[in-house]
Amino acid sequence: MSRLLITALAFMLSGMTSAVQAQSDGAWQTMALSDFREPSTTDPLQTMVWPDAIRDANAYANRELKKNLNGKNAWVTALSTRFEDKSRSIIISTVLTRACESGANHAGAGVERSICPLRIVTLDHGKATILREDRGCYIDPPDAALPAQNQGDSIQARLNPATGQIQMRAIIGGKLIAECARSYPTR
Amino acid sequence: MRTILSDTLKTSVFLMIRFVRACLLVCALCFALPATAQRTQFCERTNYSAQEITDAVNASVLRDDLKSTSCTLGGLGRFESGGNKGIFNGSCCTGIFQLNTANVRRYADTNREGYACMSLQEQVDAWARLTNDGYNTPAVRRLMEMGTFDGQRVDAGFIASCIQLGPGNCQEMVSSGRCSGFADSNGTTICDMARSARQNSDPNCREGNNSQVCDMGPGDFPTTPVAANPPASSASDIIVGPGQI
Repeated sequence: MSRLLITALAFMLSGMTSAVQAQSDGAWQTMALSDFREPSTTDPLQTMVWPDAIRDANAYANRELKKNLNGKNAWVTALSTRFEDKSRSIIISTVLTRACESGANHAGAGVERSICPLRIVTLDHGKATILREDRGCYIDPPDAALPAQNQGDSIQARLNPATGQIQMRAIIGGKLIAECARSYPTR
Repeated sequence: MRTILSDTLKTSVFLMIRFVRACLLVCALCFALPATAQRTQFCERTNYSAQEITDAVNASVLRDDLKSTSCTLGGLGRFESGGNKGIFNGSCCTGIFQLNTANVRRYADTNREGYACMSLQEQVDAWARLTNDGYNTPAVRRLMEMGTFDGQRVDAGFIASCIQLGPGNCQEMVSSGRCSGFADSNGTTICDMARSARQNSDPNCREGNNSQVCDMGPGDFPTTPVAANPPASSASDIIVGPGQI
């Protein structure tokens, strides 16, 4: 019995470590959500990747929405994944702003992707360089109010360590979304 | 030695029980989640009339040339929500004009529940900002140049429907040259939506100061390209009965 339990524990632990190691091993990674409402001076997404997007959203909230932000940022969210490639770190991120093209506004519509500004940034010894600016897909991670078929929705990315190419894809309602399948060179 | 083994076993059993409980919780959540979109009512249920929505559109920041057919836009609000500003469709869209969650965040700086609980005017203002931004997209510009599309007159209701179903989806339709070039998961096309908006508008609708009956026929969209290129009479989709003249 104890041997069985130890085997089960070892299996669970191996699953956890492989998820951590997968960051740069070519496996698909679900891009994580960041919410920029709380200003940060240490988050590289806020300070190095999307400072201009946050600034623009704050100005729009003040000017058009007549909102007093009280030291917070407007509600800007981004998806991102970080890869380690040789001596550098690479961040790929899409941000939900007014520059996105979002899906339908319609009672009969379902969850749809937004196509948003995308940046690929390298961090090398604390120095950030924007490698590429493009467009890429964005969706919010699913919440409990969405139907079961959307509970696995995600935007994913992977780095091919041999070629340095980053691929992105979207899974919505269990289906791969063709227009979200894109590749971006990083070398 | 026996004590150490016993402790190890106890810890293992404890962890195993927690693991099994977590698995059961995940399974329970899976069964508890709706298989299909479940509509949710936030805040109060409302039943705003097409005229009330039209009045809110006229008081909003919507560009003036789209306001000229605000009666159709009142119909669009009725078509989307039945005048119920607190309704979430269970998958993407909330409120009187059924804004998707991304647009709720971008144009109202809130979430779907916060949006559903805003006033009618605040919701219409957010929708108006979205529509104004969408007005400058290539799909809308192209439609305005065309004047008619697949036999349908391009009027303000058609333009609003294009933006409503998403400029990217609208571009798909424009590129195909056919109304059927884009349909949502329920088969609704932009042309269907424009038609429904007209049908849902108040036949006695009055614009702005209630002094002028809405002109909802051909020529109701005062843009140079459309006015300069009127649709053929056979392309008109407005049928006026003798009693309506």
